[in-house]
Amino acid sequence: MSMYFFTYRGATEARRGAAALRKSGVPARIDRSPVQLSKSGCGYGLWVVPQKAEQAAKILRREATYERSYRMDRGGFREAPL
Amino acid sequence: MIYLDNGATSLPKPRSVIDAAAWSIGHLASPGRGSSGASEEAENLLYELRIAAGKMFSCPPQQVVLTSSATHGLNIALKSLAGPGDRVVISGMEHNAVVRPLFSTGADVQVARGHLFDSKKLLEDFDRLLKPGTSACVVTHVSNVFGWILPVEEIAVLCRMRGIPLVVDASQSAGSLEVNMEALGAAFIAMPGHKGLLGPQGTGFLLCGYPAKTLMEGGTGSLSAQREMPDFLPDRLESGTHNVPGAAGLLAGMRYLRSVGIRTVSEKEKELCEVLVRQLKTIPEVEVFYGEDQAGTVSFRVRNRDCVLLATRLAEQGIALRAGLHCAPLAHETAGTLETGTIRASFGPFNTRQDGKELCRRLEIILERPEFEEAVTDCR
Repeated sequence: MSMYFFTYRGATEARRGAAALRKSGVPARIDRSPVQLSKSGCGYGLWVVPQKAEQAAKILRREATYERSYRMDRGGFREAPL
Repeated sequence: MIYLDNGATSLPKPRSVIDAAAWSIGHLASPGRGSSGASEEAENLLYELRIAAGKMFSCPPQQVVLTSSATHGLNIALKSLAGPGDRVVISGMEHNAVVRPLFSTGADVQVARGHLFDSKKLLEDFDRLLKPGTSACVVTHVSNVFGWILPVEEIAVLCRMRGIPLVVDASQSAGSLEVNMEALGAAFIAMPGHKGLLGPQGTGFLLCGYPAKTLMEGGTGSLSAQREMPDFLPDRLESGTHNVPGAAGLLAGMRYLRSVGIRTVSEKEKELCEVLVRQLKTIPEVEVFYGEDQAGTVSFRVRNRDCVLLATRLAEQGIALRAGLHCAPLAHETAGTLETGTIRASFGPFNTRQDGKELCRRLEIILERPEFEEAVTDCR
C-alpha cells in the first residue's frame, strides 16, 4: 500500500497541519522525516493515504503550508507534487 | 515500552523525584522574594541543591549556577569567552548546543576532529590547534551520538599549561561518570538535570570557575536598587523566578543517585552497552560504532535502510530510540555518518540486559521484511 508524506521543517507547523487535516476529516499521522527526505537534517511530516492526498494538499496549502509532497510505495520515495 | 533514549532524557524517574516536584508545586513559594516560611523553604531547597551539586562535582556551592538546561549553561559559557573573530577550538563530537552559539558569536572555530574512538589522534589534534591566543577550548565529555568518552582530563592539562579556558559539556556524563571541576580546572562545566542526574526537564547546572557575562538580566532578589546585575555568583547569572519544582525534583534525583552510587550506574550502563554491541554485531546488515572508551550509548545503522523509518518501526514495536543526526551533525561528519544518520540506543540506570536483547530480536524481525512493503497505515 502506498502513502503520501508531506514534509515540514519544524514540529509545530507539522502539528498545525495535522490539526487542520483532522478538523476537515482527513486522517493524518505526524512523524519524523526519513533521512532521505531531510535535506537540512531532521524534519517532520504528515502521512496521508493516497485517496485523501489531493484534498490534504489543498487544506495544507491554505492552513499550514508544507515544503514538499512525496509518494512512498514499494520502490521507495519519489517527489509527487500535488 | 522499552526505553532506550536516556540520552534525550532519563525515563523513568525515581518515585522520589516525582513526589518531590509535586510536593513543591503545592507548598513552596518563590525563593529570595517573600518573607514567608514557604519562600524561606524554597530558598533552603535551592541552597541544599547547590551543596549537593558542589559535593558531587567538587565545586564551591556559590559557583553552582542553576540553569534551565545544559544548552542554557553552554550559551552563558561560550558567550562569556568568545566574540567575533576569537579563536575557539572544539572537538569533532560537539553538539549543536556548542556549535550554534559559537556560530552566532562569529568566533573563528577550529575543529580538533580526531577519528572516532581514537583518543590518541584527538589529543594530537588538540595539541596542534591549541595555540597561544586561543580564547577557549570546548569539549564534550561523552559524545551524545556514539557514547565515546573523550580524554577531557588530558585536554584539560593542555589547556591549563597554555592558559586556555576550558568549557566541558557534561550532558552525557553527569550522573554516570565522575565529573570533577577542581581536578579539571575548567572555566565552565555545563550539564542538564534531566538526564543522568534523573531530575525533571527544565533544570541544569553551570559550574562557574571563570567570570561570566550575563545572558539575561532581571530581578534577582538582591541589590534591587542597583540597575546592574549583581557582580557575585550565583545571583549574577540567575535572574527571574527559579524552577522550584524542577529544583526539588533534581535534588531528589541526585540523592537517589548518591544512594545507588555513580560508579554502580557507570559499570551497569557500560556492561549493557557491551552486551548490545555484541548482539548487534551478529546481525549481518548492521554496522555498529563502538570502541574501548565508551559509555552507555551505542549508535548503529543498517545497510540500505533509512534509520528514521527503521526507528519508527521499532517504536511501533514498543522500543524507544532516537534516529537521525541527534542535533550533532558535526559528530556525524567526523564519523562519516552524516548522509545516513544513525539509530542510537542510550541506556540508563533502570535498563536491563533483556532490553538490549529485545531490541535485537525485534530488529531482526523487521529486517526480514522489505523496507517499503508495509506502509504506515495508522493515520488516526
